Amino acid sequence: MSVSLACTALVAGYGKKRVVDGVDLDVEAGRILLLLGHNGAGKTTLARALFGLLAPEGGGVRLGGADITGRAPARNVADGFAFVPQGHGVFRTLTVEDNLELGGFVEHDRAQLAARREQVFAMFPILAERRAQLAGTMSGGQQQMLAVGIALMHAPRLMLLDEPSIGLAPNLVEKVMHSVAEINRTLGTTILIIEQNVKASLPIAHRVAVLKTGRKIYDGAPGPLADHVKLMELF
Amino acid sequence: MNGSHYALLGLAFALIFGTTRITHFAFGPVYALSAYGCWFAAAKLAAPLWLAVVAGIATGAVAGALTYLVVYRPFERKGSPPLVILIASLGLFILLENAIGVVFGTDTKVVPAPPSGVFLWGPLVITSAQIAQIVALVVIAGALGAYLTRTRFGKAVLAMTDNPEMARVIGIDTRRLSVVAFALGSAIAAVPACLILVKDGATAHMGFIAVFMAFVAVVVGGVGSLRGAVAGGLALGLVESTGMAKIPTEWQNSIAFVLLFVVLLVRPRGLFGGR
Amino acid sequence: MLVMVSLYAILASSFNLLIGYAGLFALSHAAFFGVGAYATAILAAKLGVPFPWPMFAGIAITAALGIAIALPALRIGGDYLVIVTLALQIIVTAVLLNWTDLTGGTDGIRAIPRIELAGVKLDTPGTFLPLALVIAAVCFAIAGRLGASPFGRALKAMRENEAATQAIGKNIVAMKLSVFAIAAALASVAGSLYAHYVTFVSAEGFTVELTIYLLAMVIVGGTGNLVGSLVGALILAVLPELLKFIDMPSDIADKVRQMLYGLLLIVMLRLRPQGLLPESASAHHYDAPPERPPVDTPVAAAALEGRSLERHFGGIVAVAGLDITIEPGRITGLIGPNGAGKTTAFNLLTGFLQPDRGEVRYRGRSLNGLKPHQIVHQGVARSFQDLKLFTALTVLENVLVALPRQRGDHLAYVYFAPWLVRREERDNLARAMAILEFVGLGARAGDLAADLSYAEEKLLVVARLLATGAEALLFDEPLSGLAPNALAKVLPLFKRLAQSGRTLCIIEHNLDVIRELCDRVVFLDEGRKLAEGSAEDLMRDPELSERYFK
Repeated sequence: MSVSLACTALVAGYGKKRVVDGVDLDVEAGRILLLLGHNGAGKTTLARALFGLLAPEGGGVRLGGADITGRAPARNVADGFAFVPQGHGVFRTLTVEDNLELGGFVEHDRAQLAARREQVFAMFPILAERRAQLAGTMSGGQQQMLAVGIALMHAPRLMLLDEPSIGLAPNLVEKVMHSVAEINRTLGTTILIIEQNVKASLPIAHRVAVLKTGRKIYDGAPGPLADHVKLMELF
Repeated sequence: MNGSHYALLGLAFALIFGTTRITHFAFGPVYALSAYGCWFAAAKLAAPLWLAVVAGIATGAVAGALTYLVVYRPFERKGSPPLVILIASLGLFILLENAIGVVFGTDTKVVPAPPSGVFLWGPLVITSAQIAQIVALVVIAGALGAYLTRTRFGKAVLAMTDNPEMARVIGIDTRRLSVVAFALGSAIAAVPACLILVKDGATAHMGFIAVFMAFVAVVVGGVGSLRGAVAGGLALGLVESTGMAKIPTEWQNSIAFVLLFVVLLVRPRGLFGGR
Repeated sequence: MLVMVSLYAILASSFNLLIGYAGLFALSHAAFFGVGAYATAILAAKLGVPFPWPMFAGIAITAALGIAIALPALRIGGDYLVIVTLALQIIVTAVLLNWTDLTGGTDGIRAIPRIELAGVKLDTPGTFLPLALVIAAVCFAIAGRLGASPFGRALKAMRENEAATQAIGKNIVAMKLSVFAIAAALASVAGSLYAHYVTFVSAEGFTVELTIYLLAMVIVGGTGNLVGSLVGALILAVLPELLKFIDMPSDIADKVRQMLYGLLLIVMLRLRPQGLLPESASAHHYDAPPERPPVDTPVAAAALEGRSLERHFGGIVAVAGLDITIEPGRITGLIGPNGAGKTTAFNLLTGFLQPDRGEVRYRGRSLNGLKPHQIVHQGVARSFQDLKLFTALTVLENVLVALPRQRGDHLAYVYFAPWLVRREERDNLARAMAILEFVGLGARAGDLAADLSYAEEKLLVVARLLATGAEALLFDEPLSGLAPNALAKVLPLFKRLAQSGRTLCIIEHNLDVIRELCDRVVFLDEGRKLAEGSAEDLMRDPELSERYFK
């Protein structure tokens, strides 16, 4: 189940600060687009503007062709658009199970929810082991997995992940990337993943875009960017 | 004991603050209004006491929800910083407290007390009013706990208290939930308000002490923790009663504030707080 | 009634100093008023001390109380401060109410003697008014002098951003204590007059409700504008008079009055939170003399060294065994992946964090243990990644407040040698304009920092850091987010600063900038210096580039 996401000439920022300065992106349904960029390039602002946490100042966002520019997050979620924000966002004072249940907040069919929960547990066995544990007491890597699990609970057609690898040890980063690729492969979910960790994320990407000071400076195949020295030039 | 009274106040205030992040000083007058609603139903409409209490709770819930919708929500929409909203709530406090005085007069409102008994339990002397308070605490805290942890809506409230941004990310309508939090919190605070009405009578000024005690309970117990607020309230009651023995009556109210002062200096996060 | 208005004017303007200028929302002002009133009452009525000695005693006691309240204010801020001071207000009211031996309890103290001046007993509003007006004018002048001085400007800066105020060399602890003492003292003067005027004090007049009433005055009139406080006092004192036209019993009238205050406060906050009168700027660019002292004068800066610096937070090691030397006369670049510890390193070098181990040295002195403002005086200053500009101040004020060694920062000079302060201000205006013109912001000097474009904000950050006069300048991402044409204008400025002999270090993610500006680059990762060399060498190193994108 997948859907495409596109934005045209998107402008967004805080106050007068124009962080995203006219960006076009096209994420094909069922594919993985990797968005790279250094600190302050505007990646998180772009993500928030796409999802509706931030109202864009210009341009448009389309989900599966339908205009969703500036629409409230709650409606996007109901429409199958999931967001995994930066910093492994989980509900720290609630258990893993409760966290997952909340992930499926917009879903009212309890049977579906139970089935999806099992799917998440299958993908991340460690969450099954710790289902009754408070999310705040888990390690960073586990919380990140939980964050992804939360997003999966409402069977999204599109998942937007903002720097899922931040602060994680290399082996966990690999696990997260692997899971994202698996979600795309088995569930067909369209993925837009924002990253700074080029090494780990490049292998799973079908297509790569690079953001620099609010503008897109590259959009194409991942291959040419595997050469890191060349990448440094780009940055 | 007073502890359970403060615990309920703390719980109500913590529910509102934890969910909406608004320091709701108008909590005091809304509390007073609930007592007046109860009194009105009992004295003017000749309702039986239990029905009057229900009326009081309903008054509180509606008044609380209205304070959010009419006063606080416009500030939220404008993006005002929390300090501005806090000061606005101080203004609302003054406005409502005096409005109550104007509408209802300054005399103390009383309702005929139900038959009360005095029980002896070891060295302690307990009145039925105090038993009512403790029962109220247990029942309400228990019911609230069950509601929050078992129902979908309740969990949404907990989610908002825990992480407001994530709550929006998973699709919770935070505005609607804020109204519910205000209504629910005010309803909970209405119970001790009615009990005080029965025990001591209601005045327009009763909210003043109530909101500050609620605040102390929340801060002592840890800002952001509902359990902490209950514990804080109980602790406050304990400190007050031990203080009562040694300190002359006039100073007793100040104990709470000294406690607040000390806790804020030494451990601003309170006993259970994580923020 | 006019007497009361003059008293309220004193109270509102002193309150404004605290909450409007300094941003310290200490809602205990009625307590200061009350302590001043009671001190006078006790000394005058019970001990027969003649005017004006009780007033002076009141000032001393209340100022001490103000400092006592300031001490918790040093550690907690914002909302917590409001609650703590409200609690203190309530405690003071309770003390006044309950310490019956001293204060007469609920009855208060009566029969306070009237003031007698030159044989005339001031026992009617008419006779009291001139004294009240004179004293109010004096108090207002005191408050006004403070507000308009460089000290007042620094207070506003502190209100906008404490960290940035420390970073420009101001001692915010001293500032907070001073403003609390003065605001309290002024309120106590009002209290003293009140006691002599009404000849009776009781705790009911000094409650939280009064503080909220004063708060409404300040907010309606405009925080940060003392004339506004006068206006606010006038409005809120006159309002109840209008109610006299409506027929209602007096106790109801009192409540309706209070309802109006509450309503006015809410409406004002919602519609015009800055108040009726806008914040007054402390300096104007058109007052600047025409001469412009040069900005990039050659200085003999020294090397800034960090030796074996270590710092951890809980279990996480942020910086470990870091050796870094920033040489004068060139720009050293500091790069590394996210979380490498770059900003932590800056914090350690400038006193915002103390190292767990290791030493920071400049000019042969260890900087360990020094507070940030002291380190600025030693010649080392930094800017912030998230700018921390004083947004409610003008561009000119942002730079002016950062200039070093200002006599105007010391209240002794402000009050007792104002001519020296005035002369210095003139010179400083020229210096500030020179710096603004150096970075290209000269035309925007009179605009609010909040109205600048992003690129202009970045330039102001550079200007403010330059203004500190420090020879060692550490820039945290000064150019991030700037479009290429803006960059082209700014890069030459950095080169000129380096050529002037200053010690410069910049953290940057934009590698073009690093390549262009830095002949020496330090690569940091996991809190350690992994490599140091020319920009070319580092960026061609495959291992380093892999780490950068890890």
